[in-house]
Amino acid sequence: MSFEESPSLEQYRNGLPENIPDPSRRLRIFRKILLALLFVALGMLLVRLWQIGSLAGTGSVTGITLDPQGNPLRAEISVAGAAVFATADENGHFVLSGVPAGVRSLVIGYRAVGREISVQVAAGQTVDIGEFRFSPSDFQTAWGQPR
Amino acid sequence: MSRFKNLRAQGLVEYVLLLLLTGFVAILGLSLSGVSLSEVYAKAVDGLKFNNVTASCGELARSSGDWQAFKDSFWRGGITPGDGGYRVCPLCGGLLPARLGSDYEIDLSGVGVENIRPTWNGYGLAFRSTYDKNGLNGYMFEVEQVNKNKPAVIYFSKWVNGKQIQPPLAAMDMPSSFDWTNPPDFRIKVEGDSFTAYLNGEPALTAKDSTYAAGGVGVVANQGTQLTFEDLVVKPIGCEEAAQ
Repeated sequence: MSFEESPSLEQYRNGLPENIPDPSRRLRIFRKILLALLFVALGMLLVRLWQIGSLAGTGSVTGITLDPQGNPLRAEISVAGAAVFATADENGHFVLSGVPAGVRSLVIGYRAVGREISVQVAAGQTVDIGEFRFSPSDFQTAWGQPR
Repeated sequence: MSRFKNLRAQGLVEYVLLLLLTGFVAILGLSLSGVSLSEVYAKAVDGLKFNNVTASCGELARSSGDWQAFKDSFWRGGITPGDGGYRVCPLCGGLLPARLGSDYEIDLSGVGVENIRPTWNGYGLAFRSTYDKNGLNGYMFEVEQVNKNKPAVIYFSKWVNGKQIQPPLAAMDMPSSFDWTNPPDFRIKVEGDSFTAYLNGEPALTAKDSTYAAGGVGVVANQGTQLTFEDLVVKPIGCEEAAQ
């Protein structure tokens, strides 16, 4: 504000007015609304990211893989879209660690065939899928035969 | 103007906040509505690509000597140039290096089948596929016959981390007249989440899946079969109809 535009003391002979105009009030309200919206949007985004597992950490999946006759199978276990792999031991038991939390598509494979299972993985926890048994028809393809 | 005389102009902070808010809301909207950003980009790229190609009805990809070979603990090797075409050894396969979009038609021509074993004969066409250290990811159309006592089957399957997911997406028995020495002309149309196999120009089998939005094409041979082919051509959808 320039000196010429400054109010003179004459204007305030009877004291200060009750309602002093505040030119920056609307700007402050706008700023508050904007910040509130920003926090709401940020919160929703974080919730969404948490849901899809980007920030939710990792968990583990365990289970036992069996062939169509019910014998332990040294199957290969992986997760679609994630570089996480494990191989079952001679008892068919496997532990797949480092699985991103969220709903994941688990692939249980043997030779070049596999089955997909949807698994809900929670951060820091282990999901036990129990026994997984292949069906005889799973190997009725050229990719299910010995190499 | 006088009423705004004493107001400060909008500061840089407000502009930054506005931009951030707009960005967050846009990302949030897309993520909540279930639209995959990669799919949106892939479709945009496809649109640009196909618009350009469709005008000249050109090819998106064609077989060349530069195949990406399948070679790991399961696959035995890639595709090699042969007399007037290419040769695929048993349990071998490869992808064309071209990175394709989502929608196209694949035509495998001049196929010659030599069944070196009485079992597990067949060959396949990979599409929307990638191959890396995790194995094959994508889709495959195959014609396969377990043995002479069973009918030949055509089917679409999905591959995840090098494993063919069971059961197949769609399957159909071939007529008993199916002849490996004179296999029908196969053409595969890949459009959105729908895949259609044409046998000698007629639609024969359709499957639907939306796991993979884009990827390359290739050829594989089952362990009981040695395959030769003259050419593998990928064209935009509707190219032949438009040319007629």
